[in-house]
Amino acid sequence: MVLLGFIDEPKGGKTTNDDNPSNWTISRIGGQAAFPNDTISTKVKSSLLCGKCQKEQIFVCQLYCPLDGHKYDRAIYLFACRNPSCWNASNSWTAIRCQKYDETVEEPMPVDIESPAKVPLSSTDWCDDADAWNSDDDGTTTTTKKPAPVPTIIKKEIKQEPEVMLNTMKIEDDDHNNESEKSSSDEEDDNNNNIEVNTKKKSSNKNVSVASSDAFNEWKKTNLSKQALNVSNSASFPFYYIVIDDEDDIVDEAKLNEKRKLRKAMKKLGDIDEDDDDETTKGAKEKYEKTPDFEHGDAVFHRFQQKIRYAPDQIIRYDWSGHPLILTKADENTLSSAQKCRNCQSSCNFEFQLMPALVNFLKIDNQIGLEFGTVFIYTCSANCWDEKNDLYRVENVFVQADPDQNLFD
Amino acid sequence: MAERGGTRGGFGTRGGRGGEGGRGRGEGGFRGEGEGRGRGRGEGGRGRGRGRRGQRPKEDTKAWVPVTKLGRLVNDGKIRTLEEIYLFSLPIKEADIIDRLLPDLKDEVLKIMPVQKQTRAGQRTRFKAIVVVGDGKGHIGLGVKCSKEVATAIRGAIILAKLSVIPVRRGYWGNKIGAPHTVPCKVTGECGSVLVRLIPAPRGTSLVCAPVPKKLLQMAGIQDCWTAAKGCTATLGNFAKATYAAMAMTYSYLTPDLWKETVYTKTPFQEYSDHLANTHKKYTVGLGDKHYQ
Repeated sequence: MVLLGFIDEPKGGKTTNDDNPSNWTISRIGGQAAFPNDTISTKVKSSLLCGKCQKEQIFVCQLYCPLDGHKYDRAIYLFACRNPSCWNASNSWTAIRCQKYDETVEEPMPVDIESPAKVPLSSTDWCDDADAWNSDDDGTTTTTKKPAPVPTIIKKEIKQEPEVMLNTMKIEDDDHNNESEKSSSDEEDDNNNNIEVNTKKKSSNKNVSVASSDAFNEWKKTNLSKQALNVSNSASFPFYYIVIDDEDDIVDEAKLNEKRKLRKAMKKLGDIDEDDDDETTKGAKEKYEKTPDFEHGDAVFHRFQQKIRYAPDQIIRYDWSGHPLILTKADENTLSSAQKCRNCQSSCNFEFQLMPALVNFLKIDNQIGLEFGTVFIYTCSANCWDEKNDLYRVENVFVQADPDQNLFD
Repeated sequence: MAERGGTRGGFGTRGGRGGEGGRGRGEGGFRGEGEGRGRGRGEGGRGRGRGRRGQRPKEDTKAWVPVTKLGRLVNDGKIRTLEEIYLFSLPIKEADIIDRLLPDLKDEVLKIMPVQKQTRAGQRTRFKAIVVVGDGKGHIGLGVKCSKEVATAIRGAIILAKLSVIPVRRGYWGNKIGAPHTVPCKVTGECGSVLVRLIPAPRGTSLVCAPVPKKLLQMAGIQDCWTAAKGCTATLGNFAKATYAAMAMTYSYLTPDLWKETVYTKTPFQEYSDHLANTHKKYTVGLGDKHYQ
């Protein structure tokens, strides 16, 4: 169950009172870090030095992420080194975890309200649709079930689609696999995955031609001028709040919108007559073609892109003890080093990752201040914490660079 | 910024009943919940984030958020033309890059055909869409996509076509008056059994070819051309790909005016010439060093 974080402008929205930026229980980017108490901020400065160049790190973001069954307010802070030569290195990032015991947390109650409501929908849904099998009129199927903002009903709408789609396409197709469009597109994704595994990386071994590399170097000098790091310690990234949403809901909604748009586009296209070309293609029937979905050859990046295509502006991907969405091929050995807790030696598991879209918001004076491909944060699975002595604990960070970073260096 | 659905507050595994749709109390610690969506994992209870509601922008107003470094450079305007990307041999992984760099790109669906695959449970029909994109000024792209639904196939084919945009070199048949109007030389492209040959033609000839390559040549911006085709040109996919391959060859062909292209970088020998001169001296002593290269 993945949660996605998106950028939210600080002074917007309907409520007039702005959230207090010093409230440490809100997830945000940029500005200054807000710790549970001030002693932490002074004590933690000593560990906020880049592992490569020993300069002070800049605050990137903080996430408020209490755990299930824990009576703690818990937040994770991320700091990184602004030095351009330290970008894309795992040891130039620092992750700090702070916790505070909170009495007022109630134990989570079982969700009785939602689940029974869901089950009858799915069981009667099929029965309702069964009547509509032979109906040619689109109006009857759609007017009986009014779309409502509650997402459970959106799922129903998706199940209705097959009738509408099949009618417009005029196919006598017995293939029952076509019934649910949601599963069909997922299947397509799976097939795509199978295809991708077999394709070779085309561009992996190509050498840049000698003649153009000089022109490229010139261009790099003018455009990618990495300014000398004037270590102004007061520099900070612009401040944004993070708004959180569930991935499944967003994906469902986006798929629905997509289907609507595509249906409109298809109406413009007119009816596709499949049989008229039999005369012209005598003996030359087009074959089912397994075309790879990409020519650039980067299968891992393509899979990444496909995963985020319904919400490409996501900046945080939260999946406690889940799997990171890798941007480039990750070596198992290097990843495992991030999987052991520094304090208690138990294993770490993946908690969340920063997505490449975040780089667009880490600007200082309108120049990109920090670059990365994606950043994984691994935290202690036991959530070790010493209530009496601890102010903060350090967690593991793993950084992946942009897939073409080596071409720009 | 436009509004989004969702709440601020916390991430986490705890479910909560956060606010949504105006029902929020501003207190929904959003821990992976929402209203009435059974997570099915026993998440429930009251979340604790102190959040304010924010809302996500609606679908139509989404601006492009680049994901790759090249995308960011294009978005910022550091790369202004597609030719720079070709010159630096950078792989293009986002179709929006092409949208940004070629704003007047047109796309056209050449054909949508059903193709069948034999499965144990009978035949599975999918739709294959062939789409060509071009701006009429020397850029062409071809995309082929197979999918269960027509519209998905078309959309996927358009994206593939944009990712495969290629420059087309145009030249003259005779006098070099006016703008280039035809292919620079005879080029040929093959795909499957189909072979397509493009031959330079004088101005005013217009495109002398079958409808499929005509569409491609028109979108590339070639005004006059003679063609010769061989093989089973009825297979439209191969025919289009063969024409595309032929147009790709125009910039691979070494014509005499490119003979004098200067090489900008120093060859390794030039750079380390002093070092090599010293080492050479040892070997050529006693052999008459002038005549050995």
